[in-house]
Amino acid sequence: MSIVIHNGTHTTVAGFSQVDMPQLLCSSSYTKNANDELVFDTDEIIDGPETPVFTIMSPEGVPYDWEALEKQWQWIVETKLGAKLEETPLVVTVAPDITPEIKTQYSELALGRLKVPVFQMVSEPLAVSLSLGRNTALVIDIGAAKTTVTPIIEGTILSSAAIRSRFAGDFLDFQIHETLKKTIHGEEKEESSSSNPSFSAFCNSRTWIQEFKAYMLQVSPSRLQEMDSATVDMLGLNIPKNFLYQKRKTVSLTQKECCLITEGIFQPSVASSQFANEEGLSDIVSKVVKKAGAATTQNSSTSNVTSAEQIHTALLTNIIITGSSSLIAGLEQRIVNDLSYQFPQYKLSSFANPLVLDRKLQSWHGGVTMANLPSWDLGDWVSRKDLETTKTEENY
Amino acid sequence: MAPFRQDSYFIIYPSSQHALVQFGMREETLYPPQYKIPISVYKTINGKYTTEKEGNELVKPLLDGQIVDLDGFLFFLELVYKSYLAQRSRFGASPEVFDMELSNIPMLLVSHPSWTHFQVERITQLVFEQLQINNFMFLSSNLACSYALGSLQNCVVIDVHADSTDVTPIMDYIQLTHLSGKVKNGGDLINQELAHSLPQWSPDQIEDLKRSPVYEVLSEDAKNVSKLNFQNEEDDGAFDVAALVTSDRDTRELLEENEKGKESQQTTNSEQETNTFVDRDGQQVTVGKQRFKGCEKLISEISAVVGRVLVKIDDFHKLRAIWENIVVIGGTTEISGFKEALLQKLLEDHLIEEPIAEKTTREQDYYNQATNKKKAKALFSNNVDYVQIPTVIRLAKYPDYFPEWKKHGYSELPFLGAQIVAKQGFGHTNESFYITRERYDKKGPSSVWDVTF
Repeated sequence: MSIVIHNGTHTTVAGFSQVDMPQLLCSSSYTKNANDELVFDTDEIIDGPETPVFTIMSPEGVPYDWEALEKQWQWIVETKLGAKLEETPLVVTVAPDITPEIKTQYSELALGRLKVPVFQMVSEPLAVSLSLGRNTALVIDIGAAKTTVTPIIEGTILSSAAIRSRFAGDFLDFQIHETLKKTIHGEEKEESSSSNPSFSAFCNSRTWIQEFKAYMLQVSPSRLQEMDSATVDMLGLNIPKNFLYQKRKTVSLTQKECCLITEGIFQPSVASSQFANEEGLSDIVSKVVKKAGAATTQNSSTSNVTSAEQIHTALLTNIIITGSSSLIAGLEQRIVNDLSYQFPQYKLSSFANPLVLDRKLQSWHGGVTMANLPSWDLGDWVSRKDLETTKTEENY
Repeated sequence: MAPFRQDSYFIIYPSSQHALVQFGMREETLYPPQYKIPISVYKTINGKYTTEKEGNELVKPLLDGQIVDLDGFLFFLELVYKSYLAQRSRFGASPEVFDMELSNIPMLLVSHPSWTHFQVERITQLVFEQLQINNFMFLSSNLACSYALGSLQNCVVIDVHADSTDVTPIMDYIQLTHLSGKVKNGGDLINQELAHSLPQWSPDQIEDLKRSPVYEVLSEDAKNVSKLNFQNEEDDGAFDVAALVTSDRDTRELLEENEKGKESQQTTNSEQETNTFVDRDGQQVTVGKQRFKGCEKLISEISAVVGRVLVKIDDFHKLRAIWENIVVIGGTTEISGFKEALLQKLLEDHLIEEPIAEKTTREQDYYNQATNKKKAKALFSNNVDYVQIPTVIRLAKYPDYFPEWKKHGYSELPFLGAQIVAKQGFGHTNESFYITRERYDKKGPSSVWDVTF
């Protein structure tokens, strides 16, 4: 029995590896209460007094507040799950591109400070693709603070070809807020004048913005400005949708306007001229595919020669789309459409978990799969002893 | 494995204060539990658990469903089981029962989602090693509700304890523990509120009032009616002709109903300025309008948490179904009118409908724009459709086909679910629903994770 923790940039998922569902979901941010204790429970933060909200994970998906992370793990394992840290194996999912230093810090935290007996770090995209039974995949993970596109060939992450961008869920939150600011605060005063912008941003993103994203947002099947009015009509994009803002106000937007908000993910320049379109989602995906092709042909010059085309085919037929922000209607189709322009000669096949609930927990489920591998040495377990050995080796 | 005898099923549901226990089930219909045993044991100075009250410390192993004293709880389970065996065999005087109904007892324990894995495994160990039971299953109280209501695939269970309330959504028969929410108050909040309005009363009297039939939550309609009666007697007989005309029902039928209503009105609690109830000492106590107050705060706190829990689910089809199946359990919900008032509050807080101010201006505009000819029609302008859910909120429908339970009321719904599951699980040749001795011998307490119902 081991505990699996997935620290996303927005939400943390935790639970035991021998049951199908996680035990708890909490925030990856925290506030301090009157007793100077850290609060991780999302509801408690929203209810609580207005205090600054701090994040644990950086936008790169790497922890930067290690002390808070330590407290969070402690709280999860001991308070919420009722287990003992010194007795329970721990598996955490980590971003695919963390440096060796960060890795050491993770092990130090788990094995050194929290005294966990054995510990495993699981690379998120790898875990997701393996848990879906694929050892070759192109994992597109659209989370809150970042989007990562990772090519995996034969169970190995091609880290040189992976690309990360900041156009993801949090970016959409901001876009929604900007778009609706006028409608909502028409006559009222701006809410952002409140003393704690981090607090109101936290609450908004977990209340009405979350609802707005789920119900209103959609992605147009191709670039919005390239569609003529007949197509727009045919797709019904002029039909308005009504959103009730906090039981107070009706916000009415046409589907086209809803698409416009998400268009920034694919063409960042739509949102602001400071952003480059090269960072758009479909562009980075195709870049990753090309880079992966190039990278493997360089490396495998000796024995088993794989051509760039083979890599392209392998990746393009194994597209996995995951992450909470990937749930926006039409997003999967748009990625496939855009890619088919870029790679007209290849067959494309994509997979996105149809169960909404499962997709949100996919990374955690990946971790669970890795924790439950039938043989001990299949997983990448590290014990305290291993950590000490590496330390002494380094000292010599 | 030979099938079990239904008269040897052992079902236990430890709820907030009491454990509901039943040994054996009848063939035809399901009956409410045989025993209601307070969950409290005593602890000696040496740390041993006992039933002796004298000189020992009272321990309540459960707090709002959570296990706070595991050893105490284990002792309690053992005590219940062994006492029954002793009683049934007449303390060994009739040993033949051990060959018959006590020979192979399957046990079902209704669990609370807050029980940790360690606690669950420890209980499993007790059952197999100390109680020597060979077949055992856990059933979460929330899932038990879903089974009790004829296998509700999607619902949300609101379990009102004494000091807290749990809100747990169920989707596709899976309990979503990670999305569940907790209200920091439960039934005791009502006592506190009552203590404010009845400062001279003792806590026991307040508790008795809360449990008495005269204590109820009035609906808006009932409140209006009773206010009228309080202020002006003449209104009593007034008859709403407009309502009669606009409704498409038979006039005679309505008139009859009205007559009937009048008769019963003379006795309804809500009509009377004061009413009396009998407290635990057998005294008649008279109470005024305070008997309709005290639940508002609890209800609005619950409603807020329900909203927050359900907004996290974004599978719209299932979410719709969940909003239409609200299950409310716990002793507090026996208060008449409580469930209805909660539903009313949920509707008020969460139903997606056009804000009234906007609706009036919109209709006004529409009316002004329309030509004279169309004016009559324009009064009925279309509603605004929203993308959000819920547009309907309903309480789950309780089953009608358990006559005994219907009489008993459904605040102990998980027990009914446990009975149904026990019948199906243990009555089946498939052994994958429960832990068998064989499995336990192979894997020990962790075998509990290999079985699910």
